[in-house]
Amino acid sequence: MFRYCLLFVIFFILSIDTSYAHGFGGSGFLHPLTGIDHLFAMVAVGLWSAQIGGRAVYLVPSCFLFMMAVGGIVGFQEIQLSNVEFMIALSVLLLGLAIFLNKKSSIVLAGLGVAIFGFFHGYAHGAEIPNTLNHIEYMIGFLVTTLGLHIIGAVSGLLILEKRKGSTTLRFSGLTIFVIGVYLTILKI
Amino acid sequence: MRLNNKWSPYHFERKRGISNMENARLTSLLTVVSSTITLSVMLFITIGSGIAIEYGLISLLALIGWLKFSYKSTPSQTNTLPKYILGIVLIVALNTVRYTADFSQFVYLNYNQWFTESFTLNHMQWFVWMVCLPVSLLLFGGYYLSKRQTVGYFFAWWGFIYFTIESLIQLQVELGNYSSYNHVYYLGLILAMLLFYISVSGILKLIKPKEEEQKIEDYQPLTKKQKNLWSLLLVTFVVVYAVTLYTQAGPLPVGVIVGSMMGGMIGWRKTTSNIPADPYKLVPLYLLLQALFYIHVGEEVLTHFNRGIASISGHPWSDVEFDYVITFLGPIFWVFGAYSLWKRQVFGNFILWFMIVGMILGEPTHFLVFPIVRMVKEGIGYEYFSGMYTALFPMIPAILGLIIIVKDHKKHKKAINNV
Repeated sequence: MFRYCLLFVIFFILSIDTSYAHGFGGSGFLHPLTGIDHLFAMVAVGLWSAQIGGRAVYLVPSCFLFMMAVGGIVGFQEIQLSNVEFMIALSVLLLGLAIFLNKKSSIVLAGLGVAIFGFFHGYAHGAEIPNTLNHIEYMIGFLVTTLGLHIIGAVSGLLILEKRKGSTTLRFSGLTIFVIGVYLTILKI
Repeated sequence: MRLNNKWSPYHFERKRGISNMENARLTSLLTVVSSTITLSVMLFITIGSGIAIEYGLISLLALIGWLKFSYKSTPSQTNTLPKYILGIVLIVALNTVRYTADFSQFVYLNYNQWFTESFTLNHMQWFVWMVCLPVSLLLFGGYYLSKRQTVGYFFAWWGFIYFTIESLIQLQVELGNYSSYNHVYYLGLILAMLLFYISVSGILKLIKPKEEEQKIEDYQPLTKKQKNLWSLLLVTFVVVYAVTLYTQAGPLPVGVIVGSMMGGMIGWRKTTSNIPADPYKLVPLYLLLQALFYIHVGEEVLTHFNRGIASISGHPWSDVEFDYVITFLGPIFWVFGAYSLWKRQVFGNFILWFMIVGMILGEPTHFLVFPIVRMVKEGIGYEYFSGMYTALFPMIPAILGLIIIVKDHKKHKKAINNV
C-alpha cells in the first residue's frame, strides 16, 4: 500500500508543480494536464465509470466530454459564472467520494453528475483561451487530452479490478482523490 | 571420501576462494577511500567548502557503517534494493520541487560563504553538481548493489545517509525562518518526510539485515484481456505524451521518443508481457543504463540540447520546459521503472523495453540525424551537436539487456513447445 501512497504523492506533487508554473502555453492540449484539479477529476471520471462497469465505461465519460464542450462554448462567449473554481475543486472531492463509497449507482445518475462537473471544467477552459488562438482548434485540443485522461482512468480502473484485492485498491484510490479534493476545496473557499 | 585436511586440494581451493574474496573486498575498500577523498577535494577546490563538507561527511559515515556492518558479509540485496531505488525516485522528485522553488538561487543568496569566489551557483551548476552527480553515482551504486557486490553496500550506506541529510536540509529550509524561500504548497516538506522515512528504514535494514531473503513477488501471467487493457493504457499514455511533447518541442523529439515508446510496446507485447524479465539479470543492466543516460542528460543540459533542436526544427523549446520534461519528470518515471522491474510488474517491463529501443535506435540520432539535418539546413560542416559525447554509452547495457531478453524468451518458448 505504501507504494500506491508514494505514487499518488509524487503524481500530486508533479501536477501541482506544473500548475504552479501555469505553463499550458496557450495550447488546448496542455490545459487539462497543467491543472491538478482538472487532471484528478478527469482520471476520477474514468475510474468511477470502470467501477460502475458495463456501458458506464464509455457512457459516463461521454457525458462529461459532451458537457465540457458545451461549457467551453459558454466560456468562449465570456458569459460570467461565479464559483467556477470552487465547483471544479468540489468535483474532485465528490468523484473521489463516489469511488470510495462504491455504492451501486445508475448510469443515468452518474452521467448526470459528471455532466454538471464537465460543464464547469469546460467553462474554465473556454474562459481562459488566449485571444490569439482559434476556438475550434483549442477546443479539439482540450477535448482530446480529456478523452485521453478518461481512457487512462477507465483502463486503470479495469486493470485494478482484475487484481485479487482490486476493489479495495480502487476504493483506496478514491479516498486519496477525495483527500486531495478536500484540500483543493479548502483552498478555493 | 574427500580428504579434509590442510594438505588436501579442497583445502587449498577453499583458502584460495577466501583469499580472492578478501582481495576483492580490499580492492573495493581502497577504491572507495581514494575516490571519496578525490571527490571531496575536487569539490572543495571547484565549488566550495559547503558541498565538499556534505559529501565528505556522508562518505565518512557511509564508510564507517559499511566497514562495521556490511563489509565482512554481504546480506541479500532483496531487502535493501527496493528502498534504495525508491529513495532515488524521491530525491529526483524533491529536486523537481526545488527547481520550481528556485532552490539554487535561495542557496546561493543565503549561503554565499560556502562557495568559492570564482563559482556562481546558477540553475545549471546546481543541476550538474547537486542533482546529476549524486543521482548518477546512486544509480551506479544501484548497479553494484543489485549484483550483490561488496562495494554496492557502500553505495547503499552512502545513499541512505545522503537521503537522510538531504531530507533534513529540506526540513530545515521548509520549517526554518526563511522569508525568501518559495514553499510551493510545502510539497518539499511532504517529500522530505517520505525520504527521511525511507532512508532511516533503509539504514535499519543495513544494520540488522534479515537472514532470510525477501521473496520477489511471483508473477501471474497476464490474461489476454489484461494484456489488451495494458496495451490500450500504454497507447493512450503515449498519445497524450506525444501531444504534450509536440506542443512543447515540435516534431523532431516526438518522432524519436514516441517511436521508441511504440517500438518498446511491440517488444513488450511479443516477449516480457508473457513472462516478465528476470530481475536479477535485468535490473543491474537497467540501473547501469539509467546512470549512463542521466550523465547524458547532464551533457544535454550543459550544452543546451533544447536550443540545438529548436535551431533545426524552428520550433522554440524553452529551457524550463526541457528541464521539467527531460531532467526531472522523465527520470522520476524511468528510475521508478527499476523498482517496478524488480517487482516484475508490467510498468517496469514496458519501461525496460522503451529504454532499450530508445537507447539503441533513438540515441544514435545525436550522430546520424541532428548534426546532418543542421548541415543541410544551415550549410555548415559536420559539427558537435548537444549530447553527442555521451549518447552511445547507454547503448551498451541496452544491447546486453536485449540479448538477455531475447535469449530468455527463446528458452521459455522452447520449454513450452517441449511440454
